[in-house]
Amino acid sequence: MIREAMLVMGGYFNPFRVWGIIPLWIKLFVHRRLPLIPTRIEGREEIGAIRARIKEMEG
Amino acid sequence: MSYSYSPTCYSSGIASHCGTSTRAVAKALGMEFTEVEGCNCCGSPLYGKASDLEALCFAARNLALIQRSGNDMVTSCSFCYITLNWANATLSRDEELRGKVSEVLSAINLDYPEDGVRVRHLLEVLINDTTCDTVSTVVKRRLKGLRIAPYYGPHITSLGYGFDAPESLIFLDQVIEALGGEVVPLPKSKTQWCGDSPLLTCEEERALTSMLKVLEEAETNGAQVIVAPCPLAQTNLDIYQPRINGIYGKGFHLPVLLLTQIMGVAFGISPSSLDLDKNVVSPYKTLSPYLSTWDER
Repeated sequence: MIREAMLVMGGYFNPFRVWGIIPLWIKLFVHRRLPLIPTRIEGREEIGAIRARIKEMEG
Repeated sequence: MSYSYSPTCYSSGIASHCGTSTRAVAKALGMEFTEVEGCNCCGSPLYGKASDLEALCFAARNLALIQRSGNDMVTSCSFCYITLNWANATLSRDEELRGKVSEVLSAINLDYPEDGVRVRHLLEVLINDTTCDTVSTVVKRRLKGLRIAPYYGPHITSLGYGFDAPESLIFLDQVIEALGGEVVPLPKSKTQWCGDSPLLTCEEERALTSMLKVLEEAETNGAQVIVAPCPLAQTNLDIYQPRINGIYGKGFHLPVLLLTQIMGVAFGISPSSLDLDKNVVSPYKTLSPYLSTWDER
């Protein structure tokens, strides 16, 4: 699941931007909008099952 | 009236002030929310990154969970709004795709509802079900003299579900007027692109330029506050202001509030129940004459 999330993120995330957005992360953290430890997404197992079934169907 | 409500990934995470203020305002208006547990991301980040089937299955899982409550779903996230409506529309016209989605969902013992689920934006519900007259009766402190720029964002009008008619783009203006605020129109930028998902976008320069236009127009027209109905739009315009100031040499310090936050202020709900301290550009100074309890943070 983590690998899949990274793949989706990879489509969007620009590693060269990391330096520039650190101040944004800090601001969000200070304003209690980014937790130190990320929470687990809801329905992880079901989402995994959906993706596995799609993979099966699409061969 | 009763509605199904899911705070969605965004409003329970990075924009948790949206979930908090939406619940507080709904309670004040007597709207009954049945919270739908276990919803996943609506699937919007998968647009263009995965197959339609994958994105549809993500959305359909949520719709199947929502269907159990038997009510219309209300969301304040414009991304969820368009994604779930797109899924409903696609699956209602494409039988083959609907069959595939049902097959996938059967793996987790869920059924896609045959007639779909009605997914409505909170702004549309406020206008058509709650009505502005009811909103004004709940107001405890009219926002008299507060110059508010309504920023709709690009998404609620992009697919035309309830917002297709041009006259829909006065919904936000109508709510602001019901609160007693002064509408500062943004004719050029009210549906300008907001940059979508903050922190992740690859198109930062385009996003910042787009947000710059909104902020410039609001400031030029004399707005004291920008109000957005969508947590993504609000978050972007709020958190990126210091970066826009740095890159473009500007000095913006314009509070950007969620619609539900400004409604809560007028309803006399305490700032802490609206999570006003989670806004990066502090709205406290501008809103001080209207806040029920002045608690500078």
